[in-house]
Amino acid sequence: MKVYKFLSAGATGPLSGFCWPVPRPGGPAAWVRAEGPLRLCANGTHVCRAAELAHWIHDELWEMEIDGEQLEGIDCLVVRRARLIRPVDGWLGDGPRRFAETSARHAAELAAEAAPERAAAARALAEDALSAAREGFVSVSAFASALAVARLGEPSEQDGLYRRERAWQSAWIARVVLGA
Amino acid sequence: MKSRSVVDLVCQEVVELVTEYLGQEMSPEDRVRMEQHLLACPPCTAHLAQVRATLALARELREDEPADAPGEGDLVASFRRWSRSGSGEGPR
Repeated sequence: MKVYKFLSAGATGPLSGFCWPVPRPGGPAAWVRAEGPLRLCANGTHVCRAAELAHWIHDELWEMEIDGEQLEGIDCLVVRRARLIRPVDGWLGDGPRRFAETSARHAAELAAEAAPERAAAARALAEDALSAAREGFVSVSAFASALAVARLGEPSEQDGLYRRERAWQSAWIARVVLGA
Repeated sequence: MKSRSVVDLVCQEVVELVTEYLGQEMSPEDRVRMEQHLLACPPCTAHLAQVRATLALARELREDEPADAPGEGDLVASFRRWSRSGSGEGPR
């Protein structure tokens, strides 16, 4: 099973601030090992599978190698040992912007097909998403796209619609960026 | 936060819940939703970083020290130490 991790520029954890050791010329990166009990959001390395990618979008996308104990998380996997293998080439260059613009257009298409009473808020969010994509704010854009689709439903349906759109986004990344 | 969906979570709530988040007082479900919001919201992420740096600095102040305001150099040094930390226990 391949697993991945999004990081801030410079191989840094976006929320933890942890600076990941990067692969050395001609050799792999050093392993990072968590001490103590693994706990979701509290202890251990958090990685994601291809189907979960869109929940964690950030500057750099890395393929990871993992080892040892694992804990199933929410949209993620918490592991005992991990190391960076290589940055995903498809997330370099214009890949993130293409993803964000495609996601925004997908949300706009769904909004265009929706009933008028639901469509206005969704269209506005999809326009925001497209603007953010063109400005290079990829994670903001993808979030706005998923929210736009969520707003097409009744309140009780919105979480499910949001997750479905995130799944669509993840599938796009897997297909186009990872080549899966 | 009562297991709010990420769809309903707004920035004002995130700001209000930052200390709860840093204090590990949230359920894992709520932490995941909050982190998913933070990753898509640069202003909330910046706020989190500021609160973290402030708390780290406050921890360094000993009770028996004069309550002088720290200088800019102290703040910067504290923030750098915080940003370099992360080995051993903790989320990554």
